[in-house]
Amino acid sequence: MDEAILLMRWKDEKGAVHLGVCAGTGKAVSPVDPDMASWETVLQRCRESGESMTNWARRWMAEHAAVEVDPAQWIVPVEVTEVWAAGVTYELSRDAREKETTSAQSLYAKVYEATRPELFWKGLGSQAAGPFEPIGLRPDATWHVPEPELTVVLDDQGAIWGYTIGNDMTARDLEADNPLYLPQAKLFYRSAALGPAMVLADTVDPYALTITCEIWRHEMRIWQAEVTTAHMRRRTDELVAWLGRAWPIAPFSAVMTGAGLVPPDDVALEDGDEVRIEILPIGVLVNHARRIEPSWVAVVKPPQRVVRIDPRDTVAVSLGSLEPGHWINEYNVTVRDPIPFGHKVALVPMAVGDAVVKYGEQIGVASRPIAAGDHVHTHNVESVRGRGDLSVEGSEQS
Amino acid sequence: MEHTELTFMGYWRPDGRAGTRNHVLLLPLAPAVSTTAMHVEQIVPGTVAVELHQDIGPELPGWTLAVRTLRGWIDHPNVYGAVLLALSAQDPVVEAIVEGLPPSARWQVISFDEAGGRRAAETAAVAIAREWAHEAQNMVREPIPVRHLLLATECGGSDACSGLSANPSLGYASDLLIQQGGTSILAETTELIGAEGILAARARTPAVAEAVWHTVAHAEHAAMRMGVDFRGGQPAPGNMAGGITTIEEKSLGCVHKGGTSPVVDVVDYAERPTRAGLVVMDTPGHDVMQFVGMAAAGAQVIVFTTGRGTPTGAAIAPVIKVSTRTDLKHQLPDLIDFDAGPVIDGYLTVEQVGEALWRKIRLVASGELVAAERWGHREFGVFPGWEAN
Repeated sequence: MDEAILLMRWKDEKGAVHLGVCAGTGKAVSPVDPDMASWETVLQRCRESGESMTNWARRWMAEHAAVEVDPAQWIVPVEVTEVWAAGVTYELSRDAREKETTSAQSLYAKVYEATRPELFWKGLGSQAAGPFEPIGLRPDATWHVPEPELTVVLDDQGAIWGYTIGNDMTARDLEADNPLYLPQAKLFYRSAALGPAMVLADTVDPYALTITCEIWRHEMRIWQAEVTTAHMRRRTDELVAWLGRAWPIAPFSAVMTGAGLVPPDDVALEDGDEVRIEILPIGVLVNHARRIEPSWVAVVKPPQRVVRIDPRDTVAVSLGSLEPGHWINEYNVTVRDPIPFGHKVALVPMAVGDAVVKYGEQIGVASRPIAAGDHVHTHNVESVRGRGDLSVEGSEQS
Repeated sequence: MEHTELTFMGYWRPDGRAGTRNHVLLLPLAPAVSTTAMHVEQIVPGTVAVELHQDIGPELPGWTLAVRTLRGWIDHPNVYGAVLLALSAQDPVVEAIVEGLPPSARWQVISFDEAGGRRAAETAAVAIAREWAHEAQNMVREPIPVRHLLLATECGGSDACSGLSANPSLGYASDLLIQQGGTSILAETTELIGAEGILAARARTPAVAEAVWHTVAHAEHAAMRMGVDFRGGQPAPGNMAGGITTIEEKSLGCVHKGGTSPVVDVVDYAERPTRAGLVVMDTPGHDVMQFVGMAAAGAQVIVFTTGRGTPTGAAIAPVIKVSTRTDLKHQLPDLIDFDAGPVIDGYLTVEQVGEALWRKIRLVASGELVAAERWGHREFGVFPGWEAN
């Protein structure tokens, strides 16, 4: 096979996007004319002139000077519209998944053997992380792993145009909890990462590539493994064809082809971890994991929470700032006083001397009558242990 | 419940215990030689030193606890070898400490009088530390069942969220360790006041229940005899502003970090537990004295929950800092190792965060560095006992 040809994009300091071609990882890049503003334009011109994109790229590189590009400026090499992914396409990922599933153990084995592949959506291309951009960690999951995958990029007509590196981030604890949570385990903001280059399909053998994945934490490598795409059980065109059976494939979609590498059970990504995925000749995709913050996703603020820790408790803790008149639906109580964050609200009326119960235990007694919805604090509760007139032994007996 | 046996990657020791670290410890046996210990640490990479600030001696209060604490640090599973610095080899402090060390412990006394001065003592200490650091680096970690772990639990800077997020999550992780046959230490006697009933009810035997009552009452009375009524200052004004009303409430939040396992024993400060399971240790509330005592008992990993954050660390054992709220994690990103805040935000349950913390504990046990280790924090201080406090 001839020398691999890579398409890349980068964004300069002023925010302008540039296109370029090069003949392998780390090589200088020949910038493409600014009048060809997108790869779509280049593709159309090639089609009009009857020249293959590979020939065009070779000619372009021969005729135009190459420049060095700062890797920090790379962005997703092609403007990807939709990101799709396949699962259980390698023997190894089937084993790993079976371990995490507590029910329906045979699900993964079945899909590995079956004619129908597992396919799922990974969001819009605009929601995927590019090179060096943060990849997301769900705030409601604890066990995220990267899944390094060879990723097919389709052209404007849905044909396989090239390959890039993909990271199919997964919340394994959600998937393990219940297979019905798979969409949430697989689809969240920045749950896909793509880049840094796309190798043209006819300049590479997709079944003879080595995928290496590393996780780094505080300058230390905590996990590293590699696999060859020769161990993939399905063909890339088979996966694309299956997707197209009942879905109008969007031009410039990306399809991740499944992971042959899954970190062991004790590895979970933490905020700040660096994930490095290398597939030569495409390059190395580097991303840092970041817990998704509300500002990233602009979610509606969660409702004020009021927590009763133990069913026996006569008070609940406010995890927000409650105003008088606030109705606590789950306990059927109307708040009567302002309750600051971390403070207690009475759930039931208490007479003087009644036990005030939190954590299922007595934390003191009411020193004044307390109505349901009242603020419960030092003004109406006193410690039994703090009383100078009560001996320690006396309280122990009670 | 059925459980597969979990392991961590650690170092086997000749006495059957296992280390999560492989330190060469430079331990001064008198305040006067602390600076020498620090100098040797700077000269020999791969060693750790502590500074001793308290005078110790048979005539001084806290003598028994000091001897037991220093012995526990020398004969610690995370310590490959201990270089003991002293002014004189005939010092009764040195003799008392080394007398009780088991044959399996690796230690050497370097005294100024025998070596022939400050410079000669430093040279001798550097030579032995170099040799041991080299040997320690050649040891490899092996898979070790988690039942060999002795986990120390601690909380400091409690806030209204401590009892809701970080402490119960730690309790859940502690229970998972105990289900695997491991051991956890619950300490800080002053913050058990008002929660003794819960612990006593979970005691393995009536004698253990009695010991729980006795230990808390002893600390309480000893402090009052000294004219210090810590109940007057408990909960602290900051605790009260955060919504904690009574000492019982504060203690009940703290005691959650011991999980729900039966209390199998009550041990004295720095005393090594002899039974697997949840063990109560009599320690003061002081952060550093607490983890120094639990480390002396052989704890190889310490988990410290906090609503305020602190950089403190133990020289020989990793201290995992767990924040009670995500705000704190964001405020002190390089001091907090693990965030229990998603429980407060309603994103995760105590069980989920506890499970993740249990995974973090195993990773740290297997060699992952915590913030306190990366920053080189190694605070040290020995509890002199309730009477002397």
